[in-house]
This record gives sequence, C-alpha cells and structure tokens, in this order.
Amino acid sequence: MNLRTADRFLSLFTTPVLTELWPGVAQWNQALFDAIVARREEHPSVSLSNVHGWQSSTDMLEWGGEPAQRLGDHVLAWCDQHTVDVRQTDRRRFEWLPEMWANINERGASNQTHCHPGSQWSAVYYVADGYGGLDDPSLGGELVFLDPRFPMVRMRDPDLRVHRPDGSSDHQETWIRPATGQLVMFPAWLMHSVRPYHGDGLRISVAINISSRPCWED
Amino acid sequence: MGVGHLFDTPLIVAEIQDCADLNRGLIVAIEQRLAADPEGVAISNRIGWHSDIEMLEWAGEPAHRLMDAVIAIANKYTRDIAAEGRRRFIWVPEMWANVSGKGASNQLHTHAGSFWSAVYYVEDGYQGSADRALGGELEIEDPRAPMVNMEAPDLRFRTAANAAPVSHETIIRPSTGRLLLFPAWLRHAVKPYFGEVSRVSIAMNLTAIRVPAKVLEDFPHVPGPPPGD
Repeated sequence: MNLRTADRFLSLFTTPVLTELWPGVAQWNQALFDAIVARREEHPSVSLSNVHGWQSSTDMLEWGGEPAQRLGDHVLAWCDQHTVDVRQTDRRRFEWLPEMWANINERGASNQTHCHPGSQWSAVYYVADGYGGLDDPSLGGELVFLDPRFPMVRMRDPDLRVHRPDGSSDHQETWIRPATGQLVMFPAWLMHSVRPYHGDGLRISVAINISSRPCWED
Repeated sequence: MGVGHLFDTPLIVAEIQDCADLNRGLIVAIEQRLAADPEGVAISNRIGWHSDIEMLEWAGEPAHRLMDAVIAIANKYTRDIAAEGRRRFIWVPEMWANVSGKGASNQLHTHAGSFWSAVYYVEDGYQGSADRALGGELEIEDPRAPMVNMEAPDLRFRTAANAAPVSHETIIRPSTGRLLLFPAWLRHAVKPYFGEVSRVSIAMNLTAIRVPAKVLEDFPHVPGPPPGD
C-alpha cells in the first residue's frame, strides 16, 4: 500500500526583477527625451557593453536637469522600499549613491551580457521603446535576465525542469519587452543583456546604478 | 516567465501520514545493518554512522515504500520539457541510513550527478523537546551566496514594502515523519546534534538516466520523470 503524504512546495532564494510605470512619465518624459537627444548632439559616445548605439557619460544627474533628478529620486525611494538594513537601530546607517546615464539605440544596436559590480541595485527607465506602437516580436530589443544559478541548474539534465505548483516550469532566462514609461529594477550582480533592436524609431533608455555607502557622522 | 521574484530554488516539505509502522520497520532494518556493519562509510558525516548506499537492497519493504513516496513527489514536480509526449528518462535511486549520536554533524556538501536529493527523518531524537540547544538542524545555503551579500552584507532584499528581509540560508528543524526534497546541487549541512537519543535519518538521491525507447516499452513500470511543458 502506498504511503500517504502531504507536501508543500517552497520557493526559496528568489531574485527580484521588479517593474512599474514611472508615475512621473506624463509630466517629465518629454523633457527627459529632449535633454538626452540634445546631449548626444554635443557629446560623443562612450564604449562599454553597448554594441552600436550612443551611450552618455554617467553624470546624467548633473546634465539631465530636473527630469533626471525626479527620476533618480523616485528610483532611490523604490530602492528603500525593497531593501532592509538588518542591523539598523534608531538611525539610518547607509545612503544611496546613484549614477545615471542615457542610451540611444537605433536599428541593430544591442548590449552584451554584463552586470554592474560595486552597486547594490541597477535600474533602467524607457524614455522611448521605439516600437511605434507595434507589438511585432521581430522588432527585438528585449531586456534579458539570466538565472544567477546558471549553468549549474542545467548542467546534469538540461531538459529536466522543476515543475512548480502553478504549472510553470523552471527557465533560466526571463525576457522583458520594454514599454515607454516603464521602470525595471534588479540586483546589480544579475547578468543581463539587450537583444538586438530592429525598430525604426529611436530607443532611448536611462540606466541607473545605485551603490550604498555608510552615512558619515556630521 | 514574467517579472517579480524569480529564479526560485525549490524545497519540498512533505509529511508522511501514519508513519509509525513505516518507522518501526525502518528502525529494525537499520539496527540490524548497524550491528552487521558498524564501521559504515565516512563521507560528509562527522561522528555519526553512515551506512553504505545499498539500503534498498538490505532494508526490504519499508525502504521501497519510502522510495515510492519520494519518487511520487519527484514526479509531481519534475518535467522532461523536450520529451514530445514520450517518457525518456528513468530514476536511478540511492538510499542510505544515518544514525547520529550526540555531537554528530554533516559538513556542507552537495550530491553532484543527481537531480533530486531527499532526507526522511525516522527519529528526530528530540523526544518532544522544542529546545533549540539540541541542534541538529538542516541548513540550506543560498546558491547565490556570497555574491548576493557582497556589496553591503547588512543590506537585504525584501519581497514587498515592509516585509521582513530575506534570508540567505534556510534552517529546517527535523521532525519525525518529515520528508524533504531539494535539488541535488544545493549546498546543505547538518548542524551538530546534541540530543540524548540517537537521530535516525535516511538520505536518498534520484539520478535521471536517459534510456532507449525500447527499454521503456519493455519495462513501462520503471519510474521516471514525466514529459511535459
């Protein structure tokens, strides 16, 4: 006779990949767009993980004016919501140190797989998805996150997958198709990339790295 | 897969109902084996007795009933996503017993080569006491450690505003009749156990082996992970 069992499936050690619509989109998005396009006219690109495309220097909080500062403030508040200092007593012990830059991608641009060592959180904001309202997947340009346990999680039996109670099976990537106004935030150590973008419009995004540092005594 | 809290590592916590008969049968078999092979083997165990891994050969029906329950749970939570409707793998099970006296522990280890690892507690040894000083907890390490804490060790994620910070290890206090399954690559250890009564537990690995279609036609009842999405 079979043994009777009752089981629970626990999902441990999850990695946050968070998304929301920036509440400031209606008020500030056009100004952000204009500031970034104007900046490109006067400053050449830096070359990092970007393949084609223009990438600004990382001091956008200086040159981006009020729209950039509003976006930065919102992202820092979002970091606060999702972070706990487990040894904090009465007063705040850490402060955030943000770095912000802009990317303009045209047809064919992509970003290689990379992460942001030294930071705690990374975020990206889509000023313009470039899709022109089309939902055609062949336009590409998706943001791709790689399972931090990869390749170990697939090493022995790549086709055998954990099957969760909700009916989903484990996959080592998650893809996000950007939308204008969307913010995405994730741990800075999470490897990510951008698929080649094949749209006709300008794809404009703002990247933000947030590191922490101890608050200094006055 | 969408967004949210992703790339989860599963831990399946099961309870075997009415486990008294099963446990009596297992204890008898384990005591006989301990008498016949008091040396056992020395692997990740410190101080305790670790049997050979042929327990399915020497422990008879209770061992097979336990393994059947483990395989049923494994099949519930595993799919062969490239199977195209036809089963391709069988499970190759391994089982061994651990008898842990006062001071026994297991070092941090994994079970490379297998897909699922499982542990069943025949006798937790706590004699009904909730005293944490008795130790003996199973400790599971975050597979992302220490990277996840590297930038600022005291800063932790939380899964919602005002929720408690996440932990980068999971501690499970054994209890008689409890069965746990987790990925074989997941690092785990057992903290030193200080109870007066010997702790008896059974460890199991399920290794997936791909076999020719003909074998599964000839032996359709050999268990294995089902096809699916």
